[in-house]
Amino acid sequence: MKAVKSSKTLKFDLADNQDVFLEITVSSTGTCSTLVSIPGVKEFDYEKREKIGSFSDLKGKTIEINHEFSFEGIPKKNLDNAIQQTQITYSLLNVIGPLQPFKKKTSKDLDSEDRISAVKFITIEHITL
Amino acid sequence: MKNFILILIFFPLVFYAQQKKDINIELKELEITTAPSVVLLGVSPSELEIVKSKKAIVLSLVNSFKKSEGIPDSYAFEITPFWLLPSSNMNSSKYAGYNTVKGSDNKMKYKWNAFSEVKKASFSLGFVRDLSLGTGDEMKNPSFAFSVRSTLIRVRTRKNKDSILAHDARLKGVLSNINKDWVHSNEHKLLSDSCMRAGVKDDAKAEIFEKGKARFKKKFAEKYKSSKEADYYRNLLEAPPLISADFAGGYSTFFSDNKFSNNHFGKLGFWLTLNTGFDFAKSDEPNVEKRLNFYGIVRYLDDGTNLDANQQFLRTKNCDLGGKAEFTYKRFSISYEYIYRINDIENTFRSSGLIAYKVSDKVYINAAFGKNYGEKDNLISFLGLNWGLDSEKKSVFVDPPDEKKIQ
Repeated sequence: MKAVKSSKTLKFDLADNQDVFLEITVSSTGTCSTLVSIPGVKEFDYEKREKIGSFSDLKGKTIEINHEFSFEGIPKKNLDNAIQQTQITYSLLNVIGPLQPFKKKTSKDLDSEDRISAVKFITIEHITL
Repeated sequence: MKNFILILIFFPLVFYAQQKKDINIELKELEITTAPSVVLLGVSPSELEIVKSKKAIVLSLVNSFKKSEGIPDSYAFEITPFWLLPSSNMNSSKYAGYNTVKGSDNKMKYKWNAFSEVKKASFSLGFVRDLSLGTGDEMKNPSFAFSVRSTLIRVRTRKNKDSILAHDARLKGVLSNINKDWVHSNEHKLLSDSCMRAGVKDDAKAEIFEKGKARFKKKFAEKYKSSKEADYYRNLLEAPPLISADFAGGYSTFFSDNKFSNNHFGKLGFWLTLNTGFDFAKSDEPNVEKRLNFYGIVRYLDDGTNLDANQQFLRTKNCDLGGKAEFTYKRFSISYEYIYRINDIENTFRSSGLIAYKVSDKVYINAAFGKNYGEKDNLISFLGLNWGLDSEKKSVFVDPPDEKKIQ
């Protein structure tokens, strides 16, 4: 299992017209909603594998991914375990993860509604091989 | 006498320590759970129960003043791997018991999976320092038991299933709104500008944004409530089932006269517990428990702990059939159980009443009185205290209950 990383810079040597797809897999007993925003390109509630644009639109851009988790259905005695076993995997031409977004967090980090946020940044850069 | 002096000294200290800690645990979180290993070893106050939700790791201590010398007499360790290992492709709908199926119109459809609780199976180890083998038994007979239990089938009422789906959808909508409002908020813009000016990026930026989002949610907490009632969703998921069936099985062995070479077969048992119930909790008072539960049990037990007239160990095959009715209201719970045993030698029964009372958020008193199996040494007379021990390292140990009993 990889350590918690909240940002990643990915460098690709791709043609400008190459389509780029984003795939996010969240595995958690809690409820999660994910918002993907790419300034000047698009913003969407993530549901399934999504084309986020062509490489020319994306190079030099930073994707902001906001996950909002709720653990309000989990028994209080199992909250810590539910938080810590949550995993996220990102796939954007190559796979990042699985990551544990809340590795060092416990139920004390939840807000009054038993919610917690995870914010991730993925920067896409062009590299010439 | 020594035991009572120890209790008089230590109970106020433990009670005071519990009062000082700020543990916010509901009565239902402190429910007395009996590992099947403890049932198999014959040291449980009740042989009939279904656990609504299992903890990841539970350590139970049972202190019998009758025999022990101030040291706990029986121990049980129960582990639920579901809560310890990461699950793949888990989501809130699956956790609630639904499978998602893509319909012909490409829309997600939710299909109830009555077997979804099987994966939350738990395993337990039990140990009794001295297994009683009847009156006149002066030897030390340590005994070990291993067991497994799981909910095989859980059927919810239609109203309960609809409410779960509706709340899950409502919750997802609220979470989605939080994300959108945050990304378009002034607070987000200010943070983005500040980070750009200061050259903050990568992980440090993500941490700043997470903290900023937490402040934003706190500021608009009222707007983002998913329900007017606290613990509404937990109560929905833990509501009494229309019907559920739990399976448990285990094996025990004991060492007569504390000698390794005197290893004997103890017990081998398999049982199925059926549960149904009615929830009378009012919608405006969802945290006031008012439930009526009914249980039924069918059990096969191969018992090798009996002695014949020549003091030789004798194996008997038992078939148990029984039921239990339990009423829970606020701090108080009262129940009665009856189990009829058919075996090779004689037919017998166990009949007992149980009372439980919540003294405070942390202390729980329970008492049982009745008749146990057989005609000799068959009085059940039990008075016990349970209190939740809160570990600082919650991620490793999850509130192990410490059980003390007077037998």
